[in-house]
Amino acid sequence: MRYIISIDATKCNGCRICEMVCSLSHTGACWPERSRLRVVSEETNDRIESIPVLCMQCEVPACRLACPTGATYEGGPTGARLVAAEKCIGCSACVWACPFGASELDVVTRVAHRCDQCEGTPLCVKHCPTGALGYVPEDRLAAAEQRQKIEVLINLQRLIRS
Amino acid sequence: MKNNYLYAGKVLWVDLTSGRFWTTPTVSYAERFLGGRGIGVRIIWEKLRAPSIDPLGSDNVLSFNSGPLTGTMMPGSGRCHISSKSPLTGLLGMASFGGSFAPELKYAGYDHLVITGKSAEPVYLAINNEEVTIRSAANIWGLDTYETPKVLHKELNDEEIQWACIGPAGEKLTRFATIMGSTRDSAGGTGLGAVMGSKKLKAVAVRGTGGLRIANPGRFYEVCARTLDSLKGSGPHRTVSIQRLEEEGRRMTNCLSCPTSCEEEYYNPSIRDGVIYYKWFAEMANKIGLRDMAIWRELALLINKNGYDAGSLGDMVVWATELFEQGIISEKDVGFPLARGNGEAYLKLAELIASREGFGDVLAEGLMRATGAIGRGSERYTLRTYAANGDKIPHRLTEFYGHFAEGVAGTRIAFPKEDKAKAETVANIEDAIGRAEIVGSCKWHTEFNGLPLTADILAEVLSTGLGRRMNADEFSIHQKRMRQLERAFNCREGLRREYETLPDQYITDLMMDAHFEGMTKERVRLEAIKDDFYKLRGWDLTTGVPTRTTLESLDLKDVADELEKGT
Repeated sequence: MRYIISIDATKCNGCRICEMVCSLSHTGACWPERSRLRVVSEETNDRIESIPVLCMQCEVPACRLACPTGATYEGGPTGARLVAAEKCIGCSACVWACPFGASELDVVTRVAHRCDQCEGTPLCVKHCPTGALGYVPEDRLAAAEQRQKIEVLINLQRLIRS
Repeated sequence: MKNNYLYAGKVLWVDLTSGRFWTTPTVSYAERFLGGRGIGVRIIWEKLRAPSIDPLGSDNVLSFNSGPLTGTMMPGSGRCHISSKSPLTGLLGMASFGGSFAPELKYAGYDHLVITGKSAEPVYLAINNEEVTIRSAANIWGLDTYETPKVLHKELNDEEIQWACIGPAGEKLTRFATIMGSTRDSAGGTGLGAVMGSKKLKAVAVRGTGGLRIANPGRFYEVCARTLDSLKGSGPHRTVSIQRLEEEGRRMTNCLSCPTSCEEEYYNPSIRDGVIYYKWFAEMANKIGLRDMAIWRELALLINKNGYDAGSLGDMVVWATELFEQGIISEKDVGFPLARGNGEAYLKLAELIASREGFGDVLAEGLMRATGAIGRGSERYTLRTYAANGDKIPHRLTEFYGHFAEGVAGTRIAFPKEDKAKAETVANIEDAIGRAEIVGSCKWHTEFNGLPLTADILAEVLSTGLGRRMNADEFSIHQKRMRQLERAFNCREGLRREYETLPDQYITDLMMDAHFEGMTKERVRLEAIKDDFYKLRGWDLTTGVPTRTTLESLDLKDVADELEKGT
């Protein structure tokens, strides 16, 4: 069974602990720019909203389809969409192709990198203080999302009524 | 410190008079002063050798400081500490804000950013890794702190920059103006926004893509993860009822690497969005006896947008109201009546301070100068000791952190009723806060707030990160050295024992109610506590100046020499 790192954007506080643990475990440095997931903050209506962006493990990965050298493959213990560094030519095709912006060229190696789910125990999920990130079996993702969405609706109705 | 583990490695100096900038290695400061507030005070000490320098003149220096742990996984490491000579007190000015500004500065390669000189025209500083440019701020001068960053993002064509800026209050040299950072947290106390305004520096925008190397990543991760777990559930103090606000749509905001979420933003269409709740606003409301939440929100937004300090505003308003009620000032001075709890009048007063019109212009000069301007016995109600905040003062006996001792006393946890134990408690609290701020972590996570960021943990994190063993004592000595240097700076500026006192109002009768039961009521008792404190700190009992023995024991012979030369 494949797992997906799920994102509940309403819970994200923008603390970027996920970026810290990700860069620390993958590069040995505290280096958000090299993290496999990024928290994107956007200011709307004078409020700061933050949303994590990372690989959603597409069934038909656009990054793989776009890769001209076959560097992107599905592998590792979790079947994550990985990059064979020796084959990557740094052309950014996967960066353009990804519907989420979850592919990135490493600032140091200039080779594409992507979330590898820490081989099955994603540290970002483990240390997320608000529960904005979860690690769910792929067939449970829809159910979890549905439950989450109806909660938003319920809250909305409560607000409208009051 | 041969390698640059944890540190970015450089201090960036920008001289606004000449438009030049250069870097020096951090290591020359780090051996004795470690980082953050420690190196910050050293820079100020070295650059402001003449005691009479005008805080709002071109000779003052403004230093943005980060510590070795800033920008790492260590919880609370998103703070940016700022130091300068305060235009409010004339002594060392220090304040800090959270967010990602200081970490971004480190990712760009700089542990400290030091601003000297004064620009002729309004400018802002744009830092993109090693690229440093001073740009015209003609477009943004006059804009509030919500509009300014929008223009910065647009002009620099980069949504990822982190920024610090001043609002109109800083431009108008309001002596309690703040510097605001990217999460709309402000460096509030001691008026550093006015220093930035006097230098005609509207904002600093930073983008950095570098990282911070860790000597032992595995063990560093373990200690940080353990600290992270121990901080779970450490939310902010709820000092006002915010249940109703929660229903209006609340959003927590965070500093980098912090699980605590001590800031909240509210969506409120009736006011406009983006009102931030923070302890200071609640405290201000308590201080001025404000009950009307709608006015409270208006006031909070006004303060944030103009960029001045909520705590100081509360003090000014309370003090002015007290003077009004005592008949020292009247409607003729203010323009309208003041009464405790009258929110409308407070709002009007805050607007006057923001625009520096009429009586607002007097108040914008800060408590001490306003007292001088009004005269008529108003000094009886004025807190001369480091006019940072003004209420509940009986146990405020040190130049910086009496305020936090008061915070603890408010919760009735740690502050002892016995006079004997007071000095030691204050000293411990100061030390805990100092240890967090010298490494670039957050004071709110330390023991003084009941949280577990102890000297042992900080020493352990530093050891694993720097790759050299350092025990709690070896680490704490840096903080002790920093504290003595801060005191030495203030003494060089003329601080003496007799200035560390309380207004008559607090010593005698007026404010004493059940809350202060057992607190210092008489000057004699206050003086005894001061004796205890000076002894603990190794300061001369008559003058309050650090003794040569104290300074030399902390490898500060140069400081002792200079103090002697000056006195």
